[in-house]
Amino acid sequence: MEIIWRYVKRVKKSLPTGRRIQQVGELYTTLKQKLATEELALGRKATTEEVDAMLSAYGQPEAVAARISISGPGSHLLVERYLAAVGRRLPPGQQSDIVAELREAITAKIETVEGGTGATASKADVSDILKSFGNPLIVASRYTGRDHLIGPDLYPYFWPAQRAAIGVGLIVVIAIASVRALGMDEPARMIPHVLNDAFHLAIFALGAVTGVFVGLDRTGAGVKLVAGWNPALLPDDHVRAPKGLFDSVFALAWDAIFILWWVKAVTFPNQLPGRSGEGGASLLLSDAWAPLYLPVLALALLTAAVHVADILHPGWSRLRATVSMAGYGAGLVLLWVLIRAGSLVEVVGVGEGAERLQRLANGSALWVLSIVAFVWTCALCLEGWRLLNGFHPRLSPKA
Amino acid sequence: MQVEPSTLDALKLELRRGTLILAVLGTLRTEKYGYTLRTELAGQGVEIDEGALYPMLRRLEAQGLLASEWREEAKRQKRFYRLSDDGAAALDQLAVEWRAMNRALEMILKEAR
Repeated sequence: MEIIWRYVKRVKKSLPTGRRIQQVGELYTTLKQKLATEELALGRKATTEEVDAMLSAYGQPEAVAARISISGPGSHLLVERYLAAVGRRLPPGQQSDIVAELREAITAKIETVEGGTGATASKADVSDILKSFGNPLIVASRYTGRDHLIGPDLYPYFWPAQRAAIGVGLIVVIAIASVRALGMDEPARMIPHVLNDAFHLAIFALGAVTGVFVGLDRTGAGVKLVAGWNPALLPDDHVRAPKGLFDSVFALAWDAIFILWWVKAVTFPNQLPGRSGEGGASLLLSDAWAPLYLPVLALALLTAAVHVADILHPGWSRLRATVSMAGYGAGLVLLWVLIRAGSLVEVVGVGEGAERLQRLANGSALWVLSIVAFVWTCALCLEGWRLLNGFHPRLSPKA
Repeated sequence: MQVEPSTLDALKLELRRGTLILAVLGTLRTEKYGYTLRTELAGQGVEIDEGALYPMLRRLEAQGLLASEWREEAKRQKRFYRLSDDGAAALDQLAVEWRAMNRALEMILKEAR
């Protein structure tokens, strides 16, 4: 910086008084910016010889003084600031070349303006010229060749995946909060916690899904995946309209969470806070579930496989309907075994309220399983009816 | 019905996007640097922003369609571009494509009148 300052002082001597202090300040800043741009391109600090060469190329101090004394204040500073703003965002290794070309192009345009008016370009003229080149961010992005985060091939999958991730996460948050609220004097106290957890989860899901899609887009893996479809694999025997992508992704995400929890790869909070004056408690599955560990796991894996097939081969074929009915049937058998067992959950580590909590938790679990059994029975009947009637969706508009 | 100016602008942009490359390749059959290239294109009625032109030149060069070199002219270093052999071959093929498309469009537009 000492070399630049000495150069600026020499220019200052040739400048007329008046706006001299302002012009010297602007010149110093311009040269510092210019040096910063060149060092950015070099990838290291410039040597004394390189700074000297830069100042020589900028002009003799007397000529520079003559130039800036008649030009609009700050016009050259604007050019350097513009080039630095573009240069910072350019791919390494190409910065100096691109910046040099842009500088030449801007200079040529400034000279054209000056040739037309017969006067040195004002700061406003230079500003207009730079605006015509475009926003530095956009100009730099055109050189990098990437002007999107997620390409159009993957984008149709992005929002369904995003909605599914957030939706499943919210269900998990609400389910955990509901269980914990069972043991509280004032369950409404859980509401702020639920809102807080839901907010953090939504932000996390947004970032995680975006990260995965950006990765798929950058590596080209996503485009290959999308391009791998085959018209021959499209369904030709609709029993009913295919499930939407969002529904399938949502269901798969839910399956994944359940399987991970079932094999104890992830755990969720199961502590109940307890009423005032009582200790806390933990909610565990009872022994009635133990013989059903593998059948439940098998059913969950089958369900996940079917949901993967729904994403890759969307269509409600007869085979899909049959598998769906088999799943509902197997699920109903499991529910029947569990409901007959009676005791589904176990409350551990609570004081005097143990019996009350045990009754409450078991009663709630039986209610939930009974409702699920009812829903699955209806679904099983409906699938059977559709399969027998061979429902065909209307694919063309009404005549 | 009046077409929204923003819609019309977007359609014009779409229409021009592919043709600009053809115009640039065609103009660079003789060597030019960025500023004179833009001036010549503008003189022919093809306007292009500098912020789009220079990155396009780099892209075409990276694709092997253009060759470039820095040279001094009028006491200033300038980057001169010219069509490479591959670029000339690509230009010929694109020109055939363009003429066929132009003929077809002319017919369609004539029928529409």
